[in-house]
Amino acid sequence: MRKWILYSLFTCFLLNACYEDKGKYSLIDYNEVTLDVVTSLTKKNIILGDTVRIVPKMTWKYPDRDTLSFDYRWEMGLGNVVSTERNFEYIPTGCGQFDVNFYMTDQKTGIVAHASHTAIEVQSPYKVGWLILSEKDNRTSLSYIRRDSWQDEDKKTHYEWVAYPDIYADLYPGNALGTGPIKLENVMTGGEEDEVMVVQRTGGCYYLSGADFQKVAALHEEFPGAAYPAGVEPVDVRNGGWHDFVLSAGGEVYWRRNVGSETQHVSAFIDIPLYFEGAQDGGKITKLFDLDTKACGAVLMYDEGNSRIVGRITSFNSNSDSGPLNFIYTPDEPDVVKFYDLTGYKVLYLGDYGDGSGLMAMLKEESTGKYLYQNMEMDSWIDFNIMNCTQEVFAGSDVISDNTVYFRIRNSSYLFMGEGNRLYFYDVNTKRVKLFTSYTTGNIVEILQDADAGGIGVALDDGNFYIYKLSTEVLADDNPGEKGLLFSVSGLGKIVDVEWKWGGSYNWAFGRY
Amino acid sequence: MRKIYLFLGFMIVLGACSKDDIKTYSSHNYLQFVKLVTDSSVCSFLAYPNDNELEFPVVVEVIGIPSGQEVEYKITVDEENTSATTANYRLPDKFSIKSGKVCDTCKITFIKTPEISTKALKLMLRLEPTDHFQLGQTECREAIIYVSNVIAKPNWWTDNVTSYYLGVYSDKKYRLFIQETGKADIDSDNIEELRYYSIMFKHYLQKKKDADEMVREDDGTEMTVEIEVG
Repeated sequence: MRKWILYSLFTCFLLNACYEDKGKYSLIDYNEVTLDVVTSLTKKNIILGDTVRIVPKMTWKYPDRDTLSFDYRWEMGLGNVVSTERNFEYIPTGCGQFDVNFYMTDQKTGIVAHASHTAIEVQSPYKVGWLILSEKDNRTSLSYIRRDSWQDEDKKTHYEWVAYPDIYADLYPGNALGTGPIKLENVMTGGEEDEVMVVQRTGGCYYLSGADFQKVAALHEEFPGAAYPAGVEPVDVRNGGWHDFVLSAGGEVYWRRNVGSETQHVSAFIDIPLYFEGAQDGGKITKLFDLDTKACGAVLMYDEGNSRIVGRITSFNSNSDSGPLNFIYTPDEPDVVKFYDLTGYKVLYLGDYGDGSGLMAMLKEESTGKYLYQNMEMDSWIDFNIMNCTQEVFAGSDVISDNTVYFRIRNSSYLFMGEGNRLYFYDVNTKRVKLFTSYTTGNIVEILQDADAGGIGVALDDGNFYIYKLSTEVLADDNPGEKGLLFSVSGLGKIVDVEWKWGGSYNWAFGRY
Repeated sequence: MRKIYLFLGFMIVLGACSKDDIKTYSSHNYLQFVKLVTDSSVCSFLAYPNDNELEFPVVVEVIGIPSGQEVEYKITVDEENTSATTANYRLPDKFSIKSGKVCDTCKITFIKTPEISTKALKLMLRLEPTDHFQLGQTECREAIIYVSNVIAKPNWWTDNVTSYYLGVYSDKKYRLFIQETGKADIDSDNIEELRYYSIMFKHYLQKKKDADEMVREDDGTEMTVEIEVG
């Protein structure tokens, strides 16, 4: 009986295993389409507030056939249809990267063509660009200038600049920064993020978010007990990766060791100021030289009262302690003024170049009034080694004074000098000085290069800011300032500092926009 | 038949539960030192160079029910096992456990005398039974305290501290370290604390050097530290 039951069941299963194949195998010569985008009309990298536009470009196998009977579908995330139009237009509500997928379905055959548009990037409107600190209406004002770019059909890049004067006050009208602006410092916080430190006399010094300039933390909160040590008045800060430094008006420098080279707001500053041995007062620092800290591997400081330059080794790469600097000159030329003994000399400017391989100094010999130009190779691996230091009377001495503002272009051989309302540049190779431009009003207070030294920014104390192209063609022109002017903005207030905002580690590490 | 067995088992289970009162402590009250007699304490004047007297805490605990009123207990000195004299210490007039408490901290006052700069003196305390307290665990009925002003290399001055922070130990260096930082004891695993006080001491040495008052070891060599930062 059992056997008959089993046999019956087996037979039933066998019969049901076969079914009719209802598939279609006849080939259709459909109108295959290749998808691309119309470059000149497509904008996938935008600033928050702009519109993403993607215009598909369709290339048909049979252009003479009907190419209109299609349904379109744009998806952001699986199944999330955001548009059924042929062209995609979308206004994002937040920053970040997202994917968009395009589907077009042939109404007659049902065949679907698909293209993926990845890495549509929505950036903060304030990510990369110029930061300008000024005093406006008796308060601290922060302005920002951004460079936008787009490509035409021929893949040629075009630039345009957008200025955001007094942007902090616009964004946060009820939360003023303070008064007595002094300095800016761009602080790397990892990845595609950064912060901006605003140093000012009253109202507190603040870290601002690089995305929207919102206050992130107050500097005094980064000290033990969330308060500055007695008598501390910050006048400058330096983000040194594994170590940060704060200069107080009284000449003391406070420091901290971070838990990571781009990790902020975790470690506290030590409330014992640095001691620079060799002087009974332990050093009274008047200035933190504005060098590329990452490239130089050190923060150099002017101990003006003791006629010397001192500093601390620091790094964004190496997790080692920040030790004192020992300047070692090779060769040790007796006629060359040494950083560790500047008796009778005044340091007017220090500028680095060549990704930290070179350093120049502008000194004034006080007894004679001569301006001396020093150039040297350097490395700060263990000690601060200075090699092949040369010194000469500066060829441009007749156009400069004790108040000249300088900037050594890091990626080329030019030194820019702002003397009053006149901007000069000095070619370190030819030793020639040339007038770049002059201004009808205002005095130059700051000169700075952009990310890749494709341009320089020049700030005047009357609130005007200019951006110039830096190229051989411009510099060779009879009127470089006129030829090279890219953008200008006025009404920024009494400018006190300019800083390049990198927007994050990747741009900063590679020196790019 | 099976059903009968099931029913019987069910009835047995029901009968297994019964109500019981929670028992409370109903024995004597015992008193003992919190620390074992083998875990002696050190009262050192090193960290307090400007003090001539120090109050040293000794903690006792009750094994029993807290009393509803203040209760006295008794501590005596084991003279036979004590090298300190009454010139070196002073006991409180009275020892008592406050109402509702199960422990007390009494303060033994130690006095800095010249002999403790050359050797540590021992004070052995003993709990005595009273009407209210019997003595607790045997190993907790006595407490040993050494009073000292003798400088010696502390346990926290490890090889790591030597190599990266304070350098080679010397009694003179340690005494100066305590004088300048106010710290005789540091958690050597706490890098932040170690760095902070090492920097403080380093600055002291540097300032002395810059003022042409270089601090030297007893053998005449310059007193240095290993820490470079700060």
